[in-house]
Amino acid sequence: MESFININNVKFKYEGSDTFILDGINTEIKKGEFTVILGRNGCGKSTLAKHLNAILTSSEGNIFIDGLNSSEEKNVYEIRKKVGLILQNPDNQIVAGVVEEDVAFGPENLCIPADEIRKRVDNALKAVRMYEYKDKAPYKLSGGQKQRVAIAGVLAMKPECIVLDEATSMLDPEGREEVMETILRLNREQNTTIVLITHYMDEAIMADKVIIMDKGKIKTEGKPREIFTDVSILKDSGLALTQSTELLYKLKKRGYNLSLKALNEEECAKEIINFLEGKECLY
Amino acid sequence: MSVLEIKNLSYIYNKGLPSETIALKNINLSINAGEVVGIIGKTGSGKSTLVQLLNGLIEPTSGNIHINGKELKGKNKSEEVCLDVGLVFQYPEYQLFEETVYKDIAFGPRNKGFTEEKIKEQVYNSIKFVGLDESFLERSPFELSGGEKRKVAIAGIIAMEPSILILDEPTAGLDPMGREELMCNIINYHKARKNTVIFISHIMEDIARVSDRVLVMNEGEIFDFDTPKNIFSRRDELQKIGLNIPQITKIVRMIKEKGYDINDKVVTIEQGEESLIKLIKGRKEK
Repeated sequence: MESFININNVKFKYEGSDTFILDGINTEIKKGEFTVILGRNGCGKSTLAKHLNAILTSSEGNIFIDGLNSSEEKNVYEIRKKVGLILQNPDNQIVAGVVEEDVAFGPENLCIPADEIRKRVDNALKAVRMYEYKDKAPYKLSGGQKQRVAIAGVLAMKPECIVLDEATSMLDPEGREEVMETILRLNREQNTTIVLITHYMDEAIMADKVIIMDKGKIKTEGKPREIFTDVSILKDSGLALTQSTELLYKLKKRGYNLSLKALNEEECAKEIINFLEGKECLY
Repeated sequence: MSVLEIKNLSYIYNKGLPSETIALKNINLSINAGEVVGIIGKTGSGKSTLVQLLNGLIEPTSGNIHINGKELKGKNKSEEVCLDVGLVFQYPEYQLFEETVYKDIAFGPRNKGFTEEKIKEQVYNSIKFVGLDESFLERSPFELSGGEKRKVAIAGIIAMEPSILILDEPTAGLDPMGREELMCNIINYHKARKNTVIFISHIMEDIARVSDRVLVMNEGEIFDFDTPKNIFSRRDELQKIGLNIPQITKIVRMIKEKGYDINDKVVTIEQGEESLIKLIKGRKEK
């Protein structure tokens, strides 16, 4: 996979402040990759997200988005076309009184011809399965539906990458599932690069790569199956275990031979059944 | 003894307008003093409307609410009956407004007419209950982190000593450790004061862990009101109304569905572990 985002020794502090909110970040995000960023409140996750589409630019070090240096003023416009950002509260991101007008807002600002905008809006609404709501008022939609409209608004600008900053934290379980299902589909079917910031471990286990941040630094990164077995690093970083991992961890501490690598409830149940039948660890 | 009685309660938004929406339909509910009640339901099921009715922010379209035997209505509404119900809104950190944390926490108790001495005592006790130390009291609430602000906002409510504490999604947006801490603080406070706690959450694991009973709302009606074990044994019906069950309950049910003889009425990690150990030991003996 080719590289899409390159972050080289990035530091960031607000003007007049002495504390670095980002304190030497180095990582690479590949094209089409689904990356999850975890970490406690205040660890710098959202600040990093804002660097990915040049809302903020680094105090030191560089970020390259598809080869474009985000510190150079002339690249900002191009970078914002490539990377769309979705925020926590759907109500803060919807600007128009009708769903389809809201989705058209982005491409209109890009000065795209009207018939092309029509096509893009329809396609974007279909991609998030909200096409039949195109004439509705956004305030009548549920939280999950509003977030999907916000995603459609970003999609209509045809970004190569979508960054979601705790985009599911205000939603009910059903709304969360709708949004997760939508971004996974975009990732798989359209090869959209996804960067998801979340506090939900069950969302993180679906990622290709997990990055754990702590105090402005990257503490560790790797595949979910590697990261989520390291109980001490999770606890150290203010994160919790999923109930699956916690159960396996507790049973293992009692001396039962179980692998902590089972990530979700299905895998956890299978691992335990396997153990009951006297077989080797599955994962 | 019941601390809260709701009879034939309905609430309609924009009554008489084309946008008329029935938010709550004929709710009958009785909550006992000292109970912890978790409320679940998808967005738009009427959870937040219900809790807003409970402290008189909005008035029922029909039906009535009694708090500690007094009806929440008319003159009572602005007085002690309302002040006996402490409501912590969603994202309460946006409601901090005073110069110092001390003044912010003191605002509620002062309105309740406590003496300065009593106010001070309440402020010091409340900040401790939410897990912050006294050094926070002289700081500006606006220089705190999101999680700290939320704790200050909650301290401001419990400082009024409400006999019913209601929290609307108290842990939304907090990191896992912050969530855990805040849930513990609320429960410790409850244990110390033996007050009634009602909280809304979308996190079934938290609901299962701390609730005595769970109120399930669906389309403005009560779907069920029962112990966590009974509620979460109705997995398929809950799924139909957009709700989930705790992960541990799912895991144990999957094992049972494979034909293993295991007690699947579990809703917490500890109960799940116990059930499994029983199963493992039972099989070894055979």
